[in-house]
Parts: sequence; structure tokens; C-alpha cells
Amino acid sequence: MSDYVVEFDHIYKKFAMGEQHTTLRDFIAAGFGKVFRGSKPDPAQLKKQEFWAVKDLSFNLKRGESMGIIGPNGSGKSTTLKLLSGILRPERGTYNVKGRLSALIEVGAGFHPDLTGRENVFLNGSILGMTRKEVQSKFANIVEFAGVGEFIDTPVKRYSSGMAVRLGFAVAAFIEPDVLLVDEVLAVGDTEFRNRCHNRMNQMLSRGVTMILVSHNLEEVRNLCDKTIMLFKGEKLVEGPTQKVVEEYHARVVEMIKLDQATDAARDGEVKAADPVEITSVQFINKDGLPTDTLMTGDPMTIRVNYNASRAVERPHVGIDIDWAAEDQLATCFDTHQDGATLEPIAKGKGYVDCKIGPVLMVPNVYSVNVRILDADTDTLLGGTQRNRFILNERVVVNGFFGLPHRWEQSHAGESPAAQTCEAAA
Amino acid sequence: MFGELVRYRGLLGMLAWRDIRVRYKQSLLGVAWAFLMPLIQTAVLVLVFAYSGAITIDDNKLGGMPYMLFVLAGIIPWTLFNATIASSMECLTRNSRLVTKIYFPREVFPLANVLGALVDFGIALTVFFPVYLYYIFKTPTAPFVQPHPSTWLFMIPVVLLFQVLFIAGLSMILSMANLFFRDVKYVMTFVLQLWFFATNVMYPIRFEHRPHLAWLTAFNPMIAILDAYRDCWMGRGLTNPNGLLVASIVSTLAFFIGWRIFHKASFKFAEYV
Repeated sequence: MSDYVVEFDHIYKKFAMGEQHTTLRDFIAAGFGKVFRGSKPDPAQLKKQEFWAVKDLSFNLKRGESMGIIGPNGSGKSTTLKLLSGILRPERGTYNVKGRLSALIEVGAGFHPDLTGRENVFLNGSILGMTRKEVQSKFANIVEFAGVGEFIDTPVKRYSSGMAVRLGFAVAAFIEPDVLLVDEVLAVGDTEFRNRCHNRMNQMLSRGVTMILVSHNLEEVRNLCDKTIMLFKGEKLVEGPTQKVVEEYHARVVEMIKLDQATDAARDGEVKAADPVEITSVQFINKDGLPTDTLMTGDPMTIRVNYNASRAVERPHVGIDIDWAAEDQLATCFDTHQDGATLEPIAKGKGYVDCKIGPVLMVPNVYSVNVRILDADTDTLLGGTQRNRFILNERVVVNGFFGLPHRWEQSHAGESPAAQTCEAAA
Repeated sequence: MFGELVRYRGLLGMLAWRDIRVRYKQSLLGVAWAFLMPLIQTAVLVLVFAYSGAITIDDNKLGGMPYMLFVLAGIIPWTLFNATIASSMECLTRNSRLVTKIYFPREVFPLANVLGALVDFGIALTVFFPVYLYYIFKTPTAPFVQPHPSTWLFMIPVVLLFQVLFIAGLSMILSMANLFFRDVKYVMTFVLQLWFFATNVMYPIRFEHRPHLAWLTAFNPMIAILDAYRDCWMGRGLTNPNGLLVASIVSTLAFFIGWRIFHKASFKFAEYV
């Protein structure tokens, strides 16, 4: 018997790319094929359209240890947690978890909007594996931790999203597991609540809970985890003490993303017909004027669009979208047309357009940038490029999704509540 | 497979409770619907068959059972079947967030759905009793006879058990099938409609003139089950014991085979839902 609480031994898990639903026709055809050929395709082999979401991953954890999993989006972090919790089964490899396992994977997933906070606490408690009695004995603590107070008998659909998340986490925070899996739940909520959550997790760790934390927030990983593994495209790149792995993260990941972009570009280059204005590259320039793929929050940045025009354009128009790379969701965009900015005519040949951005106050994450150049006269697309990624790291703390430039003012000379609130809003 | 489900019985109850609570929470009449539905359905059938004269049911073939009682004794278990199967179709897809995010035995979803429907069944039964009592004390006109409550009443929970096994087995298969192929839900709308007409809810189905086709009833355990319910209420012993035997075997097999397939496939749910 080993003294490991969590064992993960050479695990492989594959996913299919694109639309997952096979049609009924394929299904029937495959069924007949099986009957006639009498053979099954080997699950340990990749078919076309399949890829390894987790590849040959191993790690072990002793009681009371905490491990962070970091890596860019799509590197298999969440899949690893799902494998651990038993939601997914690996194609190859064995794993073993001793004792009661709880997952803080999207807390509040079991909330029903029509039920009251109280009813949902009991429902969610039993979904997370608590008995009714257990929930009952911790009910007062849960409500206090969530800070929902008198709203506890109000249907959850009338809660603010922050309140619902707090209540969801509060239920989960009072399970007493042997192994705790945490997946980015702390990315939500205000600073005060996050601190409360961190304290709670530290308490659990000191009680001997084994914890695995998946996060983009390297600071959080540094605070909570003894050791860390870094994943990229399902494979373990680095493993070791958290500090060392976090330091290595930037260098290695940026390198890997570049490599990835190069293959994408090569593939795109084969099929793409020549654009009238070809975007040769997109550069991210930091506050020191150096091109980089890693930027810091609170620093200014410049997005430089290098192009090679095969003809002159009288009135060019440039748009830049910044997406959250994981969700493919627009974070913000810059557009000369919307800004009312007029660019000078583009002459035939090479050149660049800069978009100079002030302090970047977005949450640290991996961002993906799409650029397009249009002809404002005819509104036709002249050239475009997609998926240029940069990593935003934390220098200035940004909570929630983004920060706004702001300052504080105060007065001791009499009260003027109406005027004060107006100014605060402005 | 079984032990794990026992460990999660609390969740089973909670999910069933959630379904019931949500179902009646925002409706004006609330739980009253569980009473009203079988009453309205029975009223419609009695109007169509007994009073419109367009279609007539031969009173002699009802086994002495007054038509109103005949329909009510059939429609309540049929509603249990129909409503559970229809709602089971979406019990996994509706809970897709839970299916993809949190681990617990997936059987809990279709089984909680059955449990919730059983509560409605219990409520609907309270509608049945006053009507039943009325016919016990009313002197009937030929060819009808009075129901004689006897020890056969104790057989009703057994019949219910087999019906529930059948429903649960079918629910597991269908909820799983609908998760992989959403077409199943649409197909089943028509299948359930057809199934209603192929079951002895509003008329008796006996192959008296074509006994060589009687084996067809083995494919629809609901026929024997509804017959058994009616026989037990009338207190006259089973009129079709062989049919019930076949139905109970089919139901038990449906349950265990359905569960086995569901359990094996359940580790793929999170990827496909």
C-alpha cells in the first residue's frame, strides 16, 4: 500500500474535434459494422478528428499536500479534474483517489432559479454528497459565510449573480472532504469574499485535506499550492515546487504558443489567396518599446499591425478585436471607424499601423487578437489575421473582468450626500 | 452499481422533491392539477363514449365494471406511465450542467423522475377512491356488478411494482437515447400516442375473436398491468394471470437491462450532452 491519497498513473483521454454528435445513420452503420466485422476499434488509438486532451499524465499526492495545475487554455487542466472526479473515464491508465472527494467545479451548478436560497442550499448540499443532517448542522454557517442574510427565503432567480455564486461556494466550502478539487471558482466574487474563500481553503489544508487547484491566477496558485504541474496540449511540461514552475511558465508557454502560431500560419498560408493588403504580422509592444507576448496589467501597450499592400488604399480602416482565448468571447475592440479616427492613405508596399493603448486593466489571462483592414469607401475586407495571442500577467491587481481608471476624493466640510454620490458616479 | 445508488438515496429524494416543488410552484392551482387531470380526462372519455353515441363500447365486455370506474382505474396508471416516459426524455439534457460538472451516479436523474411521478400518482388515487366507494354501495344494473373489495386489493402494490420497474427501465433507456440523439424525443411523441390506442385505457383489449394474435400483448405489458389493476379493484381474481406473468418478466428484464446499458454508457454522458 502506498501512502498516496491521489494517484494518477499514465492517464490518456481523447476528445473528438468539432461537432460531437454522430448522426443516427453513422451510429447504425457503425453498429452493423461491428456485427459483421466482429472487431472494435482500439480505444487507445486516435482516429481522425480526435486528439489527446490529456496525454500520459502522472502525478501523486500525499495527505495534506496541495498541487496547482497551470497552463494556457485548452491544455487539459479541467479535463484532468473531470477525470479525477469520475465524470470522465480515461482511455488508458489508472487512477486512484482515497477517501471522500469533493469538487468545487462551477459551484451552484445545481441551483434551481425557482427555489429559494434555503431550498437550494439543501439541494446543492445533497448534490455535493452531504446528508440532510450535515447541511442542517452547518446551515447557519453557510448562510453567514455567503452573506445573503435575509434573502435566504427569496427565490434564487432574484439574486444578483454575485450573491448566487457566493451561496454556491458557501455550500461547497462546508463539505468536509478528504480530497478537494478546485476549478477557478475563485475568479468570481469581490476581494473580500475571495479572501474569505482563501482563508477557508487554508483552514481545510491545515486540517489535512489534499487539494488540487486549477487556476489562471498564478498569484493564487503561489499562495495555496506547495507544488505545481504545468500542462500544455494535454502533456505535462514541468513539475516541481510552485515558485519554480511559475517562473518557468512564461518562458515555456510563450515559446509553445509561438510554435503553435507558426504551424497555424503555415497551414493558413497554403489555402489563403493573396489579400490586397496582407497582414504580415501583429506585434505586441510593451512599455519599454520592445515586442513581446507577455504583458503586464497596468502598463501601456501598443498593438502594431505590419502589412504588405499590393495596391494603394485611399481610405483604410482598421479593426482590432481582443478575445478571451479560452471562450472565444470578445473582451474589447478598437476600431478606427468607431473612434472617428482617420488613417492616412496606405501606399503600395510595406508599412505598419499602431494602436496605442493606455494602462491595460483587464484581468490576467491569455488573450487572442484578431485584426482586419478594410477599405472605408467600398467597405470591403482587404486583409485580416486571427488568433495572435498574448498573455497578460499580473502587476497591478485587477479583480472581476477589468479595472477602470479612477481616483478617490473626500470632504469633511459639511454633508452634501446628493452631490457626493453624483460625483462618485461621474 | 447498486451500492453506490444506495449511498446517494438522499440525492434521489432531493431531486424528486425539487421536480415536484418546481412543477407546482408557479401554477395557480398547484397540486390541484394532480387531482384534476385524471378527472378531466375521464370526463372527456365518458362523454365521447357513453353519451355522444358516435362510438359505442359494448358494456358486456367491460367485465361487469361500470364504464366510469373502468376508465378511471385505467387512466390513473396510464398517466403515471405516459407522464413519466414523456418527462424522462429530457431529464438528462435538462440537467446538462450537473451532468458535465459534478459526479454522482447518473441513474439518479431518471429514477428521481419516476419517484416524482409516483407522488402525482398517489394524489390522483385519492380521486379514485370516492368514485370507487360510490360504486361499491350503488346497486348496479345488469350487466354491471358491484366491486367487492377483498384480499386482492393487497395485490395492487405488487402490480404497481412491476409497472414502476417497466417505467424505470424504459426511462433509463430513453433518457440516455435522447442525450445522444435528440430525435428520440420527437419520435416518442408519436409512439406514446400510438401506445395509448394500443392499450386498454378507454376500451378493453382482448383477442377473443383472434386468439392466435394474443401473443402480441406480450409486447405491451401495460395491457396486462391495467387488466390486473381492474381485476384487483373488482376483487374477482386475475382474469389473465398468464398475461401478468409475462408482463412481470418483461418489466423486470426491462429494468435490469435498461439499468445495465445506462450505467455502462453513463461515463460518456459528459462528453456528448
